[in-house]
Amino acid sequence: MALINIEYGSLASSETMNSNFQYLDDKISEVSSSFTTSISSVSSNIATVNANLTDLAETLDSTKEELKESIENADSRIVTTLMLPDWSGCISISKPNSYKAPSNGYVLINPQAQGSGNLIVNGVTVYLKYRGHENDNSAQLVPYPVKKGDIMTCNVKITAVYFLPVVEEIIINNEEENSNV
Amino acid sequence: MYKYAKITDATTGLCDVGLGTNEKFYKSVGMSKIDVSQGFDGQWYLSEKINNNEYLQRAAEYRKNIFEKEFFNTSLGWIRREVLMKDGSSRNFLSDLLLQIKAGLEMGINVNILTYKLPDFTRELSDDYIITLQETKSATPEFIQECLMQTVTDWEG
Repeated sequence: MALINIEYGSLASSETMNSNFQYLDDKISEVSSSFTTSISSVSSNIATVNANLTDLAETLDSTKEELKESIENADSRIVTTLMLPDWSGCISISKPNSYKAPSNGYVLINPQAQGSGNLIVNGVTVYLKYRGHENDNSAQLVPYPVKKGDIMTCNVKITAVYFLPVVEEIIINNEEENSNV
Repeated sequence: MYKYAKITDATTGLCDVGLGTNEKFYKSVGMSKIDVSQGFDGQWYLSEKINNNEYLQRAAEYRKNIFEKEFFNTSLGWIRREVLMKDGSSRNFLSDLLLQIKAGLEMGINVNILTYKLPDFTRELSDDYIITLQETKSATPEFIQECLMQTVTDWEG
């Protein structure tokens, strides 16, 4: 059905008029229907956006909880780091003068009973043994900690000197990881 | 024996030696597998160096020095300064026993003492070897006199 044009000043039949009214009525219905459909679509989109926003908020909450839990777990898992002796790397030192520590570790000195003198590490002098009696019972194996690169000199008469490297051991929930340091 | 080692004195063959099994660590500190032997003084030496005359001379001198610190000489033989008693304790011969021996002699008692022959310093001075050098002698007034003189020598240095 199409709109019938009525010439200005002429008389139109009731059929033509009714036809035109019918056309207009159809058009109004068509526009109304289209408008309703559009509103419906927009509403649907808004609902989808709302739903997505809700999901996102829930995901953020969940992630935040997981992150918090992970941090707490990490805090409780790493208990401590220990420096432990590695006897498999023990070295018998032949000359304890200007000895450079090859890694972090301990210098073990067994002085002679009748010797006396000092230990000098990086220019810092500490008393090692001040009694020089031939039956000095304090002449036992003594450990001194050193770090890699320290220069050590022992001017006490010695029976033996050893270098004992350390391994760094990290304890994680009863699991142990270690590596030479 | 072959061990991870590093030569610290090329003349004497003295070495730093890895005593453990951590090959990775020993390589990382510049050691390599070398034929070494533990020497007279507990130190480690290149095996090729430990039987030459110089080494044997130093070893004998080292053992002689130790022996002369632990023993003193008398006309009856060498006397151990620190005497191990049967109950496991040790006594100093000059400060703890001499006056008792002297008192025994003055009372007319025959006091036997352990003396030692001079060791062969080219040998290891093990306890077993030292025991073979023991001789039992009777203390005399001259011996007491010598021991007292030794005390004075120790005192004066």
